[in-house]
Amino acid sequence: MKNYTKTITERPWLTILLIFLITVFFGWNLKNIKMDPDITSSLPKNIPAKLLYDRMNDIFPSRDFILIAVESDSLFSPANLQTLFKLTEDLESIPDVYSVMSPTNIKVIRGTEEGMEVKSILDAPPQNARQVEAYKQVLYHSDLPIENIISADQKMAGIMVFLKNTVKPEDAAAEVMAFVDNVDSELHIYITGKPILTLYLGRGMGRDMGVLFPMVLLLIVLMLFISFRNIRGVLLPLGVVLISVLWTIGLMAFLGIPISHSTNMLPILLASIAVADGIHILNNYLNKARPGTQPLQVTREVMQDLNKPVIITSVTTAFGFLALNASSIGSVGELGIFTAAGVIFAMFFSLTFIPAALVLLPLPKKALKQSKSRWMNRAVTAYAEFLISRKSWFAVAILLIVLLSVLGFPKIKLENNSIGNFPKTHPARVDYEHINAHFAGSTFLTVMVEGDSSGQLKEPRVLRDMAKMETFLNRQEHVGGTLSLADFIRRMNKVMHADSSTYDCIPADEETETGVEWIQENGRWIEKQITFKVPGRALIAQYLQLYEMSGKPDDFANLVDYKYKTGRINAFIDTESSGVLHTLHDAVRAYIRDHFNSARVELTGTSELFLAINDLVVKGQFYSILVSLILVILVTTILFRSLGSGLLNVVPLLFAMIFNFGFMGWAAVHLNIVTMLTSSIAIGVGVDYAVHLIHRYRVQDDHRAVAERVKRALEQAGVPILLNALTVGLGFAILSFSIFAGVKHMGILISIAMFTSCFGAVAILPVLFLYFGEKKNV
Amino acid sequence: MHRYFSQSALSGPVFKWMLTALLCVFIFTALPAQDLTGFQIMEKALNKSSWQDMSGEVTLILSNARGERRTRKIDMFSRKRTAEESDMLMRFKAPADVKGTAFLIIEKKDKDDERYLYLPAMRRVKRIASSGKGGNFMSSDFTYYDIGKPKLRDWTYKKLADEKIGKWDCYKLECLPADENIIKDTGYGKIIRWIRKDILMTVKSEYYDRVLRKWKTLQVPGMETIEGVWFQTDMKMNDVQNNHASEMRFTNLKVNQNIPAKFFTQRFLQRGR
Repeated sequence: MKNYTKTITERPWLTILLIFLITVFFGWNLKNIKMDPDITSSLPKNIPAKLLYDRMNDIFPSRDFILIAVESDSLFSPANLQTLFKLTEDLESIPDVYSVMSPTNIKVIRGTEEGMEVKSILDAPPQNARQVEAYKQVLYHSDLPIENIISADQKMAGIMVFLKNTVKPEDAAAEVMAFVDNVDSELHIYITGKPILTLYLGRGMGRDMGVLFPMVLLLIVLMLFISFRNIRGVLLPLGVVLISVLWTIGLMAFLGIPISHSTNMLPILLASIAVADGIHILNNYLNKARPGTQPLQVTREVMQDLNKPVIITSVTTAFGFLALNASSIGSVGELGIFTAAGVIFAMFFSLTFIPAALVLLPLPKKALKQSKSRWMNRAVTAYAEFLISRKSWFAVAILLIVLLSVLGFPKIKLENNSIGNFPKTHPARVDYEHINAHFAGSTFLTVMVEGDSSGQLKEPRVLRDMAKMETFLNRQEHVGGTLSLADFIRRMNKVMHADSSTYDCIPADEETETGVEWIQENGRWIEKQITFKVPGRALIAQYLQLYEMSGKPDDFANLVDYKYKTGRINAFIDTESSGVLHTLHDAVRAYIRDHFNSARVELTGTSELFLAINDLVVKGQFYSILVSLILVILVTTILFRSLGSGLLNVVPLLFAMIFNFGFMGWAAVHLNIVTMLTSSIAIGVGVDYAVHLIHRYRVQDDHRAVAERVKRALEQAGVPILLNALTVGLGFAILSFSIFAGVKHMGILISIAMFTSCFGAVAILPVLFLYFGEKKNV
Repeated sequence: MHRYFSQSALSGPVFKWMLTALLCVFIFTALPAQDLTGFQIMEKALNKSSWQDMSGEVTLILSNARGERRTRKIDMFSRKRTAEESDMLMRFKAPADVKGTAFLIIEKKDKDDERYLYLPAMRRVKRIASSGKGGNFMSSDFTYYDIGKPKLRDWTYKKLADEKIGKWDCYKLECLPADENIIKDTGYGKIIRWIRKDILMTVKSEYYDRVLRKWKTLQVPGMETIEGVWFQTDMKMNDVQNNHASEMRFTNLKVNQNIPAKFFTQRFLQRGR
């Protein structure tokens, strides 16, 4: 270590030049950084719902859709219908749009005297009141799936825009959104759907990045200036922060890892952590730099003192972050890996760039003022004496806090709701809520029905199961409507039997039909009624044949595959609340198990993806806490060469975590994909405080009384611990200025965790020493 | 089938809507005319003489972006009822679940064609509402318009520089719709045609949508003469916007066998043979 410092301090220019060159390399890579705000894309590939969701793109030409709604008190005026008609046509011609379903173009299956007619509801917009009435008559009385295209109060028209699956949904969403923004109309237009939300999420992330990072830098500058009142005291740690963030993001860009909803927070987290080592080094340097000393000499002394603690705290922090990989959510693991890399980068710069720069700079003119730290030191001494004399008060208070926190646990709600993440007035949320309040819903559950052979989806028993499944789904709360091939077959069966409601169903396996036959009687051909039996399968196949005679090649492509082997039922849901989705999921699963046996059935859709994330959040939470605790125990046990000390280290962390979850319970902060990160980060960063205190306690003379040793340890470690916690805690608190509720909550939680783990180190550990301190090896 | 047919004279122009394939020509009418205008070329191509009736077997192959296929086999009969109107009957042989269904089209000069489908499962004839010329022919990428014979004056023609398609010298025509209704009716904003100089048969076309994006391409890998009449016996229509393709192959083509008129009635449709 000494040699290493010697090398650095002997070749300061070379060191800085090398760092500069690598910085240029990563900086150059920054232009390649991509963004992937889609939360569901970080789901592991082996999750069945995700696997199937991806596979849907192989089977059907379109998967994701955008829901646009137009609102007016006089929706059915010829002028408004004209606008809607035009809007529908224009949307259809957007290249990334697969198909559009709106009140002006929905296909109507009409029964006619002699047969069946399939065509768009309108050829041209209605011109007068009479035509409007006729149009409304057809719209409302043709058994159409209008739940997502006309609101119950008749004031909103919905346009479902299905996106081609050959494009990235959010790119197509940007195209559709740009189009909608430019629509010149008096009507109020709303727009939502998963691709739109992902688009908004990306924009919000960009905004967060642009606002929060400068904020955290400003905060750092401010704290550094208050601490040092000295240019180098500000610039050197700030340099470490900037270079380590730049390297980390540059590395991500180099490896082709996009910025996700999780790694979006990385610069803020990293900046808050990266500044700490610099503070310690500068503080030490400015304390040691007295007139008559040489910069090289002072720097070497400082580094000799601090090399080890800087490495140890950085390594424990990095391990804490790496523990995030215990979660199987890809983006969370990436946050862990790259923040860990960033922490190590920061450590590296603190040990190279700062000493190299200090060697090159002349000694500061003024020595650091000591008055400020003197009153702080007096306060810490007073606190230590108070703690020693009132240790039982402390013990009781701590136990009460723990008890109260534990009581809050059952109140913790697991809730991943990407819409609740947006502020109440954000267009993403306003539009989503308005549309979902009036239509069937923009979230969908897909029931995939997979046959074993071609044509199985034409079997009456399969279609019957599907139709019953839809009836069941429509009875569930929050399910606003369903769509499947079975609807069309049912409708056709009715239309083909003179619109008789007896035939408003899927044909039976064998149907009795009446028809006519031409027979020759007395040399003349006459028509004669006959009754005969026919397989339902043949009926269905021939209905489809009839439909196809006037349809387009891909009319059913989004409902059933080309071979009629795999089909799907889409159920539209008006919420993303994981609680609701879970209940629905369980009910649907149970129904399938008991009632659907004509084909294999699997579930997917956006609702299933949200649920999968939810489940992973719970599992990830548990494992990442476990892994980070084990890592902390391991690292500190090795460091202190004592398992007891290693275990003791996690006590303040356990306290911080218990408080964290208690707080979440009582303050109704939901556990979700963002707030789940709190624990692991808190463990990695918060362990430093305990390390410092235990280290100080252990180095005190064994012969002194425990109380005396506790007092001295607090006096020596108290101020740095508090300053450290304050800097990091305030830095993390910047996250609470995010526009996203989840990130906000996490900023608050993690700031609190900094102070509670700090409290654990300066209150709980001393109390433990005071009660159990006689034992050796603590 | 043969016993229903007897020879009759060739007559009249125009079989308006079924199959450019069935457009036919006396091979000798093609003139080596360098200085023809686009309009004149099209006029000559359209005014070729034709057959009175014809029959054949059609294989219709639809394929989607994933390369999956749906294959239909059909027996087809057609007969000119008047100079400008024809009737057509198609009987499905495969796939099995639609075997026996039959499709009858009665062409009407000044109004929508009558289209009927016989469904053996119901033993009923169902009328199919006309979806206009722009409607898809049996759910394929061919529209009724594509397989029919275009009206000369529906389009304006611009002769582009001659090109070779394969080994054939071709005229290249840019056809633009004469008015808005044509666009509405056909869905096409522009068609480029390559017409063989020697026999005046279209060997390739490109279809553009109303905003002039390329939409479909037609290729004609197979052409045959049957009793001196040229037929497009293999046509491939490729929808480049939706990645869907349809191919029509004709075999066993016969012409002028004197198919009787009663062949093309609802009663016959239902009764079978």
